[in-house]
Formats: sequence, structure tokens, C-alpha cells
Amino acid sequence: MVRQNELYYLSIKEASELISRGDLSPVELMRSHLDRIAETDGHTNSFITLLEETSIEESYLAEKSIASGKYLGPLHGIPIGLKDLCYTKGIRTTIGSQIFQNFTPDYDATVTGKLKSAGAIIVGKLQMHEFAFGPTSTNPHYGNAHNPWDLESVTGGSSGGSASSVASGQLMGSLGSDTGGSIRIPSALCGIVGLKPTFGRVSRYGIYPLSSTLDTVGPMTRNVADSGLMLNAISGYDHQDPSSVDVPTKNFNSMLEDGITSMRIGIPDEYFFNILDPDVRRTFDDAVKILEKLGADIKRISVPILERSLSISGPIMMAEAAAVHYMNIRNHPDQIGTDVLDRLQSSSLLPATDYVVAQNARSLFNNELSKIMSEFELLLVPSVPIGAPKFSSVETTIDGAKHETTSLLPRLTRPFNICGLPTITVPCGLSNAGMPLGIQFAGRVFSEDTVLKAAYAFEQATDWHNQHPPI
Amino acid sequence: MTKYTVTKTSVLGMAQIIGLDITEQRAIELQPHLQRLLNLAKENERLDLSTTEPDFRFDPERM
Repeated sequence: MVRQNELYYLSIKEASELISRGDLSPVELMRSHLDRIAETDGHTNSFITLLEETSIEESYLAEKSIASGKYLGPLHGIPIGLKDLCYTKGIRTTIGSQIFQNFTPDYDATVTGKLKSAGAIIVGKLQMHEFAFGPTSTNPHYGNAHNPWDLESVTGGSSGGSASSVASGQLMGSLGSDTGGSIRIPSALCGIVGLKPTFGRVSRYGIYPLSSTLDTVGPMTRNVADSGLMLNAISGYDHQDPSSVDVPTKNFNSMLEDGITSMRIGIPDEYFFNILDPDVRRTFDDAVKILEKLGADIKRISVPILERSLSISGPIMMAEAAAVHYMNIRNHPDQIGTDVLDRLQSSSLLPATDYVVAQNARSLFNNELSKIMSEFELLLVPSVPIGAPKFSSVETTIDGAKHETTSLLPRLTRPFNICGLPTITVPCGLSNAGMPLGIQFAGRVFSEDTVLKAAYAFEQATDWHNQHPPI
Repeated sequence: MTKYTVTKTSVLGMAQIIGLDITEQRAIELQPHLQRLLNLAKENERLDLSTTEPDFRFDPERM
């Protein structure tokens, strides 16, 4: 048997192998995580709602079920959390908002139901930026999510609790949503793996929306194999989501061990390297060398349209978010936090023509990206231009120029929401201040297996995924 | 490139048109946010969009 004090940093893959052999009790696994939550959540504030009682009950049921030969697969008995915009039947779902503080859905989101069917145990609803409309997960209603690597620093957002909980060993995996980087930003800043699947791969039914043409749902885990295991459970066509695409699901981990010899990887010259902290540049360059040693065929490429990433994604996200919250900003402005209200109200004044022009520019952007992706299997870029900033950081100076800190955070993730391509962030090092940094692999449409394969090859050649925060 | 200059008065006027009830002080607060958003949106004028149509629905086959 595994000692209890080691359990909370097991991977899903390790724990599920032990559970399936009868060498680990789901109850002991759950108790270990609940103890870890009790020990650390006063510092991280990862949870908005903790489901302690039902988690224990369900872990007993899982144990009984598995003992009677009804093992459901690698998520059976695994402690998982959901960003608090995933609908959960009978459990309040706040969207990180005061307006929804008493909202209890009467149905499960499709992803919630899929996780339950796979045997996962929902331990709680996780902290987030209000309405998922911000990159820090500071929240005036439920408190800020704190980065377990440095409690004075932000987790990044908007899925901040999903990241801090997994990074600190409170949970084995979580779900986040990603409209402009909300899975990948906090994953990178908290030193975990975050996967934004292809747009349409994972159902958004029962996910409170932010931006209908950009929103995606995906897993946040401590390693790449676990990311694939969670994606296996939550992907698939759903007629209840108009954006769901009817493509076959598969075992996304099937190619994990295949290696990346001769894999064609492009590094765009434009945009991603214009504003970059020197630590991020250093760790990215180191990552390139590692991938080249692994046999990847890496080329610098030119994709000028990338320079328009913000002018395309910005108006689309802002206008669609303002449409979602049309009534909230009129009826309940006093219940919305200052930063989010500023964004929503100003966005509601954006002329419709600017929105349509941005969607037109998106066509051009996607045409150009499509051409590039016919030549390259992956694009490789940094995940976030800086390490996790302090809560007090308003401006960040890079190469002598001052930048608004919150504007920097989603800068490198947004391009892949525009084109909908699957993108993963994996840890690639630490800043000089000791904060985690990440790199992104973006793949062709519905090629999550290739994205996971490359990320896995990199991960296995490094040790960053085995490092844990000092909390 | 088109230049938008957002003022307190223009914010109030636009808000009134869409039925958003805000004070003069709130218009002053929103002015820099709207100015920045419009500046960003206007950057798309640099692109030749004469041969494309808006991409409102994700088309995986095109990607």
C-alpha cells in the first residue's frame, strides 16, 4: 500500500493503476486530498464550494463498486474539481459572481455528467475570475485565488482555482474554460498542464458562456498523460451544444510514447516574441534545444497575420461577452466587480460593425493559419510573456518599456482561440524569482493526440512536472 | 486609419442609444476603456478584407 502522506501528489495514471489492482482505496485517496485541502485552502482559496461530505460518501461507493468488479476506468474514484461555471445539478454554481450566489442548476453540464459516468468524484466548485472575464482570478465576491508557488502572486485566470487546486495537491485534476487563455494562463503560472481542445471537441452544454465563438472547456492536470485521460472522458459530440462537432472520439493517449522524431514544428517569428520577459525567452530557447535533441524538425517561420491577434480577438470577445451580460449590466451593475463592469459596459458600446469586421478579419487569420498548419504539425510558442505577477503589480517593465500587467497575461494564448486549434501548455522552467513558466504546443484541428504526444515527449525529457510548490 | 475620439459626451450619448443608464462620472470612467477598445478594433482596417466573409461559425474542414 502507498503511504497516505504521499497520495495527494500521485498522478491520476498512478492512482488509477493502484486502484484498479486493489492496492489503493478510493476512500484513503479522498481523505488524503480532503486533509490537503484543509491544510492549504486557507492560503490558496481554490474553492468556492467544497463538497466534503458527498466526496467521502462517493469514495465509499466507488470502493464498494470496484471491489465488486465494476471498475469504470482510470477516473473511477479520482478526486476532481470543476470551475464554478460548470453546471452541477443540486449544487450551487456561482460563475464567480454575486448575482449567481444562490443559483443552483437543476441539471448537470454535459462534461459534469461525463466525468461522473467515468467514476470521477466531484470534490468542489473552483474559484474563478468573475464571469470568467479576466486573466487574474482576483475576485471581490469570493476572495482571490492565490498562487501556491507564492501566495502574494496571482494564479492567472480565469480558471485560477482550477490551477491552484491541482498544483497544490488538493485535487488530481480539474476542468477549466478557455476563451482567451483561461485554461492555459493559470496552468502556466501555477506550473501544471492545461489543454484547450479544438473548438467543438468538448461540449459546452451547461457551461455558463462568456463568448460564444471562442469558449472551450478542457482539462487541467499535473502531467500530460493525465490530461489525455481526462480528455478521453469529456470529449464527444453533443447535440445540445450547437457548436459541438460530430467527429469520432479516440484514445488521445494512444500515441503518447511514439516520440517526435522528424515532427515538423514551426516557431512564428512574429508577435509571440515582441514582448517577452528575459526569463521566458531563456526557458523557451532551452525548450527548443531539448525538442531538437528529441529529433523534432524545428523551423522559424513567418506568419504576419499573427500581429493582428489582439485586434481580432479583442472586439469579438468583448462584444460577445457584453451580449451575454446584456441584462446583468443593466439590472445588477452594483453587484458586479469594478474591473469586470468596466469591461462589460464599455464593450456594450462597441459598434456592431467593429464586431463584424473583426469576425471578417478572423476569416483572413484562419486562412493564413490553415496554410501554415498544412506545412507544420505543430506551432511552438511561449505560454505567457511573464511569470505570475504579484497582486500589487499594475505595470510590468520589459526591455525598458512599461506594460499593463493584466494586458500581458492573455497576449500569447489568444491567437489559438481565434482559430480554434488544440493547444496545450506544459511547464518548461522557473523564472529567476522561482515562478513556473510554460510553453505552448498548438496542433492541427482535432489533432489533440499529436499535441499530447509532443508535450509528453518534452515533459519526459525534463523534470518540471515533478516539481511542486512550497506550500 | 479612422480616428475615434471618445469623450464623456460621446460615451453618454452611446449609452443612451442602447438604453444603458449611467451617470456623467461613470461615463468619465468608461471613456479610456472604450477608447482603447475602439483603437484596437480600428487596427483591422489595415487588413484587406475584400475577399473574405465574417467567420461566425467554426469550420473545422477549413482549418
